[in-house]
Amino acid sequence: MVPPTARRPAARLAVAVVCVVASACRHDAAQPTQLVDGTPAHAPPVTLEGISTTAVTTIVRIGGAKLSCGRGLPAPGLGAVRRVGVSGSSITFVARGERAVRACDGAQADGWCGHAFAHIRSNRRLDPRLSLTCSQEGGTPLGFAWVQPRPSAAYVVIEQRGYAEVYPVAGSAPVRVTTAEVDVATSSARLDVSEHAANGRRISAYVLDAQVSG
Amino acid sequence: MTIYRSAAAVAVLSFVASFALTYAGAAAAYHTRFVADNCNYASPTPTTFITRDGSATVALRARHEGYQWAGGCWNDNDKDDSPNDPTTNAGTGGEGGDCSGFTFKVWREALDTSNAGFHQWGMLRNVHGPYTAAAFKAGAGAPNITASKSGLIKMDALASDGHIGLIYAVNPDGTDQIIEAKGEAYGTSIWTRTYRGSSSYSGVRRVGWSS
Repeated sequence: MVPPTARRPAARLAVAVVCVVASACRHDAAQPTQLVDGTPAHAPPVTLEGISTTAVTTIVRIGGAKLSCGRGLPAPGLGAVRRVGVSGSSITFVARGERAVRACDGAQADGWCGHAFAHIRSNRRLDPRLSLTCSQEGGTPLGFAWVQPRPSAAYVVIEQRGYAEVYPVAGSAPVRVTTAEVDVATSSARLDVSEHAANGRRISAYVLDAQVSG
Repeated sequence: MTIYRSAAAVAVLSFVASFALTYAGAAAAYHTRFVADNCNYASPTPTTFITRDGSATVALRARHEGYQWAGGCWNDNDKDDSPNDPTTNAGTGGEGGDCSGFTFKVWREALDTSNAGFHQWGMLRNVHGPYTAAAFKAGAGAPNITASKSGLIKMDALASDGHIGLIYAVNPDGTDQIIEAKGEAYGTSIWTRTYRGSSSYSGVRRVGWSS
């Protein structure tokens, strides 16, 4: 995967020049017009520093009494974070009585194709916990992972092929992000991540290596 | 409540989250040479069958080897060649599988979750596969199904959301001898466990056994 363009000033400049010449970069064929549930895709409300591709904002909903991850799994509850992105949807939650974070993942508007679980231990760092059991139409694997944003972050941005997917941060909950840029052979994904303040200022940019584990 | 971006709204969330996932780029510097020096990425050998005794033999080769979070490469010298790796760090390059990676290889599964066929992986092939313990527990993927715990037999599995172990033998008292990649401090071996009686564990079976 190509590292964030924000980390390569020369590359950014080259891309910018080509865009000006061609005037077509923001109409890339991969640019999504809607989210996985059919909702029209929207641009973020602020300009995100360092993001040169078309940015698409995902939806985040908090709670919901009727949320369910399916039979036999704990109910997400009122504190759950439901996300709808371009390629996938998810619910992240802490189940009652557990010191663990859970997620259910979907590659369609409805229905779940994956579940994630990770223990919470005070002051102990956990891994992004890549989930790889979901696929898009046509069979392309879809990966889900948790990103733990810095406390001052309002947005987590994942560079996708041809666009940037913007995830509004919800409280202190880890952000469940989606990527089709997975390496099936190594059961891993390399995510180009940037975190931004509420005014769009970039706080950090990094590559997150996520692997299926545990 | 739908939010495209509402700082005020999300700031008041009471999500119970006194945890910290790894900040990217802050991975521990610790690293061993085991994977780099010994492991490979060779293609698996497609096979047409899997037997429970043969699968047990494959599992026993991992016994007394190490444990590596997100790992899947080991030799057969009956010792952990990278002891005391930092736990839950996928990047340390140590010997062994984790519980789900071990199960994936022993069950001869495919990287493609829609493929229930049989793929024989070499011990030194560094592969984890696409399933976590939670995914196995849910019966995710074409090769895997949930099964009644009372009917589980040799080389079926008991899985919780955070762990999975394979049944090596059933003890007369109803407990099981479980072969499992238990953790960095324990490695991979056989222990008597009471997973079958635990409500946290469910039965999981690989489909397509010949015998």
